[in-house]
Amino acid sequence: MYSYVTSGTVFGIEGMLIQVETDVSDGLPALHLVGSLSGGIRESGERIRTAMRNSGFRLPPKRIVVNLSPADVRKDGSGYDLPIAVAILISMGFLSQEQVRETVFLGELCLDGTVMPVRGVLSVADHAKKSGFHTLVVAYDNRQEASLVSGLQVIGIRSLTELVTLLQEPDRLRSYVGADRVEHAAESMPEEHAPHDFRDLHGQPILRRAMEIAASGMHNLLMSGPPGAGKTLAAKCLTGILPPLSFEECMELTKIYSVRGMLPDGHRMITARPFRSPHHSASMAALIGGGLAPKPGEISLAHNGVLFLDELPEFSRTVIDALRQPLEDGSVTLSRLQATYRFPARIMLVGAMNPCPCGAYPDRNRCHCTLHQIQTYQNHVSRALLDRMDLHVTVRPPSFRDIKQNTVWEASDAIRERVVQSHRIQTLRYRDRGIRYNAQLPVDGIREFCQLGSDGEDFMQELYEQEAFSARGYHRVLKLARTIADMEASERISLSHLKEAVSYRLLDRRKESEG
Amino acid sequence: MKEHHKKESSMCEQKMASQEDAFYYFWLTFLNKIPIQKLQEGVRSFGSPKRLFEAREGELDWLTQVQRRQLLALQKDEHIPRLWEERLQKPYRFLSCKENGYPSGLLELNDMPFGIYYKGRLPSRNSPSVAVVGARNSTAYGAEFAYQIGKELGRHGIMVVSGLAVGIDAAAHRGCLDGGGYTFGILGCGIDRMYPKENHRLFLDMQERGGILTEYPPETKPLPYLFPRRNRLISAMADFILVVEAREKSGSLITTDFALEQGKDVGAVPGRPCDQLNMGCNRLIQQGAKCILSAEDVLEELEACTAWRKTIQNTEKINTDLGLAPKEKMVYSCLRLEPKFIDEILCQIELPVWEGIQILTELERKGVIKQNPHHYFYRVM
Repeated sequence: MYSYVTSGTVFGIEGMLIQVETDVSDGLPALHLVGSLSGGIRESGERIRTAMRNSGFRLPPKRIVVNLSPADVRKDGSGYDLPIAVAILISMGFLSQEQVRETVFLGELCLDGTVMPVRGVLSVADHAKKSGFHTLVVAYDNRQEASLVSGLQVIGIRSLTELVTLLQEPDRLRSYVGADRVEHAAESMPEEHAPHDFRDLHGQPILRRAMEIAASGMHNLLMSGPPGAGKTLAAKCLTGILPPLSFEECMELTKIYSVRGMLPDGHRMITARPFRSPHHSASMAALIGGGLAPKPGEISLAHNGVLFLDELPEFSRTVIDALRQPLEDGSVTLSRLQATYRFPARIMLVGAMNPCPCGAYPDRNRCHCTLHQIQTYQNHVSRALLDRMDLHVTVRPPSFRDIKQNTVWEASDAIRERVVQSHRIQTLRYRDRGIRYNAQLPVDGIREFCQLGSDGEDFMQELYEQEAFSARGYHRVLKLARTIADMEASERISLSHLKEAVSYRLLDRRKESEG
Repeated sequence: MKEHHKKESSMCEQKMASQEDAFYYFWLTFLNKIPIQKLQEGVRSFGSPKRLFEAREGELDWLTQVQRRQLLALQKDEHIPRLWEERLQKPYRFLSCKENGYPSGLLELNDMPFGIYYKGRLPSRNSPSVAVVGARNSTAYGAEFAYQIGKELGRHGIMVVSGLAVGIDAAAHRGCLDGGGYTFGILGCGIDRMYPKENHRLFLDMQERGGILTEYPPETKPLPYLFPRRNRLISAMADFILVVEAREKSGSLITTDFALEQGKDVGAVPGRPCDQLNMGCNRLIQQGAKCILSAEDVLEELEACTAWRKTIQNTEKINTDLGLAPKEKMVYSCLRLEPKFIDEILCQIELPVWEGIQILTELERKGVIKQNPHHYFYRVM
């Protein structure tokens, strides 16, 4: 007898529905699984057979064929155990085809029939809702994650037996869903605090200012300074001054984390701005994503948040250069033989580096590095990447007076209020444009929103003709000036805004003048 | 009349002879295993470099075995004659020590090179020259000082001689070029090599206004032991030697040792006593070198040790009135000649951070301050 059940999988980070077809017929007893399966799924036959027997359903000595369609998509992961078991149960007559018509099943089985959570549930749930399904059956531990999609009835089950009982008694099902319905995540978004506060950063006015500008427009930032000057601490404080994520941003982010299986305990929603700081030995696949069926990398995990690359010159050059395209596009595109995957990656890139191999430059009494060594070291970071760093700031340890003094330095909360204000101006301005912040402004947008006065134009022309920056650099300065103007809630970009913006963008010129 | 004729023809002969000899001098520069003085003795006892070139093994018992072997090998070497034949197609020129134009300063050396390879031009005999040498690992302050000195000297038509290294050397060369003067660099490698390559631009510019010289034959690699030896040429070509920023054990001090041997005057720019970078300079002053505080001091020293007299009087003084707005003046007054980190400046001026940054950018645009490296500001002299 033929039966079918709908299941889902993730393709990149988007959900995709998979039909699980089963046919039980006469012939030599066997359980055949077909449909472009990976090794992992091929093995699941034995697992399903045992789990069903231990749940009290003995497979009949018949020829059972299971097909996962569409057959041209390579199937991976363990979420098909549950739908296959349900499809076999329908073929065996324990359940009816009608009962599962509008339901999507997703879950892994243990040998004793327990249902285990799987990755990527949120993406599947979202897609199932959009495709018109009204019920999703997942493992109990996945229920919170799945119920982030409103308008979808989510049933979290603990075992196969529980599922069969529920499906056989629809009345119980209704009360079951009602009792266990998880409150909508949007209301329960807890306020999360960054682990470090700007209060801990003593003095260092230029660094504070640069951080605030970077946060206000989501600009990339490069810090250069000796070891122990506070670069890492400052970067860790950064998420604390960024405004909270909107619900859509949270959803997008939770999908990415779900696909990677990195959701926090209880598979709750991600509500805090991500702060990712991969070690400098990271491979290209780890950073931008990769694999046969590509998984998002660090740059996507930092989506809508901060990707902090400490010791930037120590990263492999090819890895760093692979960041260039995602930084421009706000997404990573990975091409594989079968398909092309797109992962969102709208990040704020924060880099930290020492100015020379020993770190003490320009203190020539301590630094004995030759000019050649210094340049070689700095050249580890390609000019192309430097060009994409909107703010370059030099960091030096705070003076002893600043550390010792009992001054209370401005805390993250106060800075955050100002940042929220300038973010509001930007979202309002760009509401019809599909972007949120100044840093994302495309070239045509720059022409529209970054108008200069005649004095500003003369100033920029003067600098451009001195070859202070590239054409891209020019645009980046304008965006930066736009942010500085927004911080003062100023409609137009004045000369003084430009002057400040320019002062953060001179590292590229500096390097040449040393020779 | 007859006598005059005779004199002319003898000069002609001499010239012919020297041109013929040029190849043999060219060949002599390749004999890097034999000290120049020993070679000179050889040439003297054989009568001419040509005879030495044709010498048989039996006649060379005054050389060590290694030296003899090299000489005999190079007699048969085909590469050198080929280089000689092609010399006019090369971008550099060779001048033997017997030809006109050979730098007069070098003639006084008892181990003068048999010839020099050069690009650009050769120093003129009439104008005085100053060697500016110093650390490669210079500070922004030291490089700026060397630059300003070089510029001022260039403005007065004084040649600046140095070693074309990064740091102080490069700054002095560049300063001289910007001041409109001619500047000469002496390499520690073959003329066909560009070392260090950071100075690429400087190499090209100096070939236009000045020259690059070396005593080492083409294709010589920049090996460490070659550099101290070329320092004797730097001091020999200069009338006055100025040291800017030298550590206690610095290559610049080798130059000053040569200078003292050659009877040249030495000056040094003082630094703070405990500053490692200036220890060499301070030591020199302690030992009697002239204490140089400005380009003016160098000019005075030159007037004292050469026949040169200063003609242009309007030496640029440090302009105290820069036409700055009150706030700009206030920020400017916080700055020194040594680079100061932006945080310190911002703490001192007690203006909002953003305003301080704007003023600094404006001052830099006006050219009265500079920053190097990023966010370290200093006054321009």
